[in-house]
Amino acid sequence: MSGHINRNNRIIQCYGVNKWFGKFWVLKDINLEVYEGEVVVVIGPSGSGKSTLIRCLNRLEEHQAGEIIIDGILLDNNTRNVSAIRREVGMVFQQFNLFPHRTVLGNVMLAQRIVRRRSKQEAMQTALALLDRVGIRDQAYKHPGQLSGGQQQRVAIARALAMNPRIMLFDEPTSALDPEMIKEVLDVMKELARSGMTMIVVTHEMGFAKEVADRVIFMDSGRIVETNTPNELFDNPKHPRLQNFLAQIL
Amino acid sequence: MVSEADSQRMRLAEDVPIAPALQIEGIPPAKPRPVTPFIYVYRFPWWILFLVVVGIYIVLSIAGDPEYSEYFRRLSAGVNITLQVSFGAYAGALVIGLFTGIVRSYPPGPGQGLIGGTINFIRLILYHIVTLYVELLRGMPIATLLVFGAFAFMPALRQAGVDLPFRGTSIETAIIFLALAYGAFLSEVFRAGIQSIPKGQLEAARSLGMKGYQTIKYIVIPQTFKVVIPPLGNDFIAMIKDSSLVMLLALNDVSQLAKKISGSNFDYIDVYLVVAFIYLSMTLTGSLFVKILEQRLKTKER
Repeated sequence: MSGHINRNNRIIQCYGVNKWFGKFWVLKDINLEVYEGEVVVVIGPSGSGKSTLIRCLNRLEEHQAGEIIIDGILLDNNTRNVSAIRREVGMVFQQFNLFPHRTVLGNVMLAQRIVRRRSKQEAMQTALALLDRVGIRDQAYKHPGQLSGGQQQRVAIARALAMNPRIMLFDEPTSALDPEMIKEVLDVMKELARSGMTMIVVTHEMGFAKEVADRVIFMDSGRIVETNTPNELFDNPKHPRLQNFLAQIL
Repeated sequence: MVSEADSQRMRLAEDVPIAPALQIEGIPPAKPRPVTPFIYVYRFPWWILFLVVVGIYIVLSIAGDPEYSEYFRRLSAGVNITLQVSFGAYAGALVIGLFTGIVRSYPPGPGQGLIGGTINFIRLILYHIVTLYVELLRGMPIATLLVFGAFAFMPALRQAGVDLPFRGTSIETAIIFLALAYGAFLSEVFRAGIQSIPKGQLEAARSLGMKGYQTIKYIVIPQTFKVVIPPLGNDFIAMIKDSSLVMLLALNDVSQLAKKISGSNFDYIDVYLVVAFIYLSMTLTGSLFVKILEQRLKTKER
């Protein structure tokens, strides 16, 4: 759908990734390659490891076996590599996680100033341009607590984009929102997908997956069970577990 | 910028008229209940008014009575030491408490690689030293600590060849050991505040590439202070009162002077009435200041 896919650059590579929480095996032999500019949507039941998978991609969780390579950098114990990867990978959370003691503008500027070391002026310009892009420039001087959930999530997207990431991860970005506000967040995400951003989206919004995704991945109990184009995956599911899942939700 | 979706929503809003409120004859339309002026009776800080009136009465009585004003004159010579000890020791305790509170909030796990492993091992040692400090000093009576510091620790330091610029029984010793004692308490106050910050915010900071110390400086500490202002105010007032323990080091603070005066003329009740007045004017000013600070921090957020 995005039409910007660069088949020559596999920007995310996961080979044989495994992870345990104590004795619980969350990720089982995950193999995944994502091309630059591709939009991948991850679906699956709760507890299937979707969130853990994308949280491993920027080291919010640590994988215990296998290899993850992001934009040519091996994700390992080397903190320099981890920092380099986090600069390239933006993340949006289900609970927004904005900093409540800073204004909207302050939220979008902070990491630019102290991580990217941009001047105040440059950070402010970038921030205002991004707030404009997500449609809440007029709220720039409010605190997050004064905004609706949808507006807060759009600020969170702007905050992540301000770091000029090459990859954006979305961890159920609309699951904590009122139905009326889901659309405004999805619209921003669609626009982002069209602009050629590499995106991995964990979501229960099947409409979004059908419309925007280049590829949909179905996970169940820690495994990637099926992966296909949205049309094929939704209209012609092969694995019985997926057929069952789709029958429950559609 | 108005997005396509927004403009569509606006158009819809214009096209669809809002249904008029259903009006039933004989029933007046709904109106908000007027705010009763009685509400101010409930909001007024009556206790402050009471204190001000009583305070003025006491000030006038002291000024009008030669005996009381003589006691007041002699006792207020100690206010300087009381305030110096309180503010000095509290400032020290804030620094110690914040540092140790941060250390205790993040117990280190095994690090990765040679550098990470070494750093985390040092952090582990620091964590246990700090925990030991908090647990020991919290459980020790402050009086014991002060006497020990002034008559054993400081002389021992001097004997070991450390050139101290002050005597054992001095205001500096008092400030150091009071700060150490209160630092242990404030450490737990700060730890509670730090742990009240949702984990998601730390994850957001990490995902934006912020380093640990940057997250603490820009995300954790500013929000912690807002949470811990009330308990910090509590301890500040307790500190003003506990500063009276410096009389164990023969420092002439308000309490020591009261002991001397009343010991010479046996007029305990009148002397200690004036003492109570002096301490209350300091502690109440302190709590009022804390209240204002709390109020200002609250309004800033919303």
